[in-house]
Amino acid sequence: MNGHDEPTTATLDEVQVLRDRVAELEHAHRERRLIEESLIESKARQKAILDNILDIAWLKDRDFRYVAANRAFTRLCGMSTDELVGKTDYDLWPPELAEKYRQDDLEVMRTGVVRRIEEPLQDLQGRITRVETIKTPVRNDRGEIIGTTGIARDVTERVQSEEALHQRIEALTQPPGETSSLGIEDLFKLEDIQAISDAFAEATGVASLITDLDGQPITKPSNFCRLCLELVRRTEQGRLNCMHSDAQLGEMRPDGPVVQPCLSAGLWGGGTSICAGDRRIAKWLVGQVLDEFQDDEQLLRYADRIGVDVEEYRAALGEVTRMPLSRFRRVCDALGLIANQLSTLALRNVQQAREIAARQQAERELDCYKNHLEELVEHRTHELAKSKENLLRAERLAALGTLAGGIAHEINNPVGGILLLAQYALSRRTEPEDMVDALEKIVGCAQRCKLIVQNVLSFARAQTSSKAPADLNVVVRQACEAVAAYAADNHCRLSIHLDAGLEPLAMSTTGIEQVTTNLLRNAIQAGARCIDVRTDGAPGGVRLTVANDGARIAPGQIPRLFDPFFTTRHGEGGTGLGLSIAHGIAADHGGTIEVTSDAERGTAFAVFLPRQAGSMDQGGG
Amino acid sequence: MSRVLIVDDEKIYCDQLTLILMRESHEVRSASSVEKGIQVGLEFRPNLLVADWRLADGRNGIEVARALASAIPDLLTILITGCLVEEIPRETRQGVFRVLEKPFSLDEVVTTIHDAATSPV
Repeated sequence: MNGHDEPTTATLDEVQVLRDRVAELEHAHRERRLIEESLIESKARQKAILDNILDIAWLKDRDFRYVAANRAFTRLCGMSTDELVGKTDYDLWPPELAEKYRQDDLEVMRTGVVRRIEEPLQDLQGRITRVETIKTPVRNDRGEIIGTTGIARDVTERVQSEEALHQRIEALTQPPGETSSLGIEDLFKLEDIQAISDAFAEATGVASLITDLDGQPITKPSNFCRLCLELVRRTEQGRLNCMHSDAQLGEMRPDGPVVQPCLSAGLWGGGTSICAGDRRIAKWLVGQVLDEFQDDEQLLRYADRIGVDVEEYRAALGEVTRMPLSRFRRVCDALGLIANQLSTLALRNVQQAREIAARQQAERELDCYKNHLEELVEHRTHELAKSKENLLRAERLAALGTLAGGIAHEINNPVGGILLLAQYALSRRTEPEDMVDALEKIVGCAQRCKLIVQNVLSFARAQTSSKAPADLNVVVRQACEAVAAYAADNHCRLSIHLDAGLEPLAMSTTGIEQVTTNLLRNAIQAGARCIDVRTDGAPGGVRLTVANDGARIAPGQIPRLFDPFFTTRHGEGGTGLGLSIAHGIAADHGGTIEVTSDAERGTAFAVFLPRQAGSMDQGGG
Repeated sequence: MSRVLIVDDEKIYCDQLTLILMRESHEVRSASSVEKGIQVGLEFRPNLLVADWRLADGRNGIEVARALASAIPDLLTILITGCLVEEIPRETRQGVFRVLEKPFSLDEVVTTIHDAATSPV
């Protein structure tokens, strides 16, 4: 038995393994079923929502083939979803509509922008309706457009009522000369007019009809008697007589409705006009009534005249409403009252339509004017920008000219001096001591040239210096120390007041030191006895003020103060570049230099350096 | 020999031209501005004026010549300029004996002064 034990155990183990595996598989299968079910459920839910809306909805792929649609859509085109899938608009709709839909799809695919379109749609019976369609691009995970979805709503009723309103307004606002085309249907809804006519006839027991001015019926006959409707008006002669009579009955009378026996069958009739202001727009006719005294035999003769069978005519005559004439007159009075009210209402409608039209016209004009103004502003702005640009260019050229001319003039002077001096030194008649003197002067001239060149270079460099956060006070103190000896030689005292609370600011330290030095040197050269150097915080930045009690600057010179080569110390070593350079450096920091100079308070230069947003980032370099 | 008045705000020119012209045996005075030029001119009564065209404060040397014209009718003017000759108005140029462009050589200035001094006017 032992020999069999092992295989048995092995088999049992294997069975166990297999069982486990089956359990696993079953578990996995259940899980998958659950996922599939929930997926199906979610899809079903979505479909249920889509299927239960009245709007039609669909999905097309990038080749414009239908992929899915809701029930409203499949019902509209009379196909099942399976039949629909894979078809294009050309398979479903008339070619011109399909072409239009295709163009819109192309546009949505091309631009990737949702479009809202009002367009025609044709149903199975070939009826055209108006729909408002929203077409949206469909994208995959990578954002590529892979198709379009659409949802469309029937807006036929809205469009029709809009069109009717538009037509009505158009008709009502035609010039007075073309009034003949204005009818009651332009002022009232036809159903409303019909309802009034029907109700009036029902309540009073008389027949009622509203016609145009020529006697052509606008409403359907209300409560007409068989005699008129089926016998008299069926004959050619009878119909003509009726219309002729109707035309007379509807004439306008200031004292109320016309009441008289009709010119056709001789029944009592009454009528009045409906007007809009002084313009008649319709006639309202009532009647087909016999009074208590009318002679049937006499009335019967009319049957012969229009060629109707007498017996038939007699029977129909018997069905005609009978009422005392006095009562019929009261009915006609009521008719007059209601017709007057309708006339008042009609006039009001005309006025309202005119107001609307006038307002629409005003809006259109305003719109037109607004567009015109916008164009004008744009045009002017463009011109202004252009002329500003031209001005700037002219200014730049002028500045360049001034600079070049200035450089040439400044350099020519010492160069000319060198030339004269050297030739003088070289001439045979010159004494040795004069020669030495000339050579010394040549050195002086050459140094002046060097200074000018240096200044021109730093002038150029001032435009593009790199900046790092630094303390203005440190920079100013260094400049003061550098100038201290020069100041002392010229018997000038520096009075320094530095605000300890200044925040570090992005600046070019060499640039700002040069600004300070230039301002100090200028003050000393202007003969200052005391220079007040001050730093403090200013709104949005920091400020350095260099004030002195030296020579006042003439008001006329202030505008030219910062021009390159402008100097009041011509020939005394002034190059006229110091302030120009200082100005350039301040401007490079987004700052300004302002000057005030008067006899009492002396001269002050105020340098403002703004705390520029992001200027810290430019640091280093 | 001539009496020469030099007006230039460049000290080096005043000094050096004075030296050169004195060595040529001219009698020379110099001034650094329009006002000083007129003042010295009226007193010194030169027959030759050597004036810089572009002086400080937007002034120019021809102003000195005009101011002295009534007092010294025979006065000849030589303009010197660090700019281009074309910058000086044509009428002004025509009214002077000669215009010298800086830089000029020693020979040029000596010859010009000599020409002016021997000019028949």
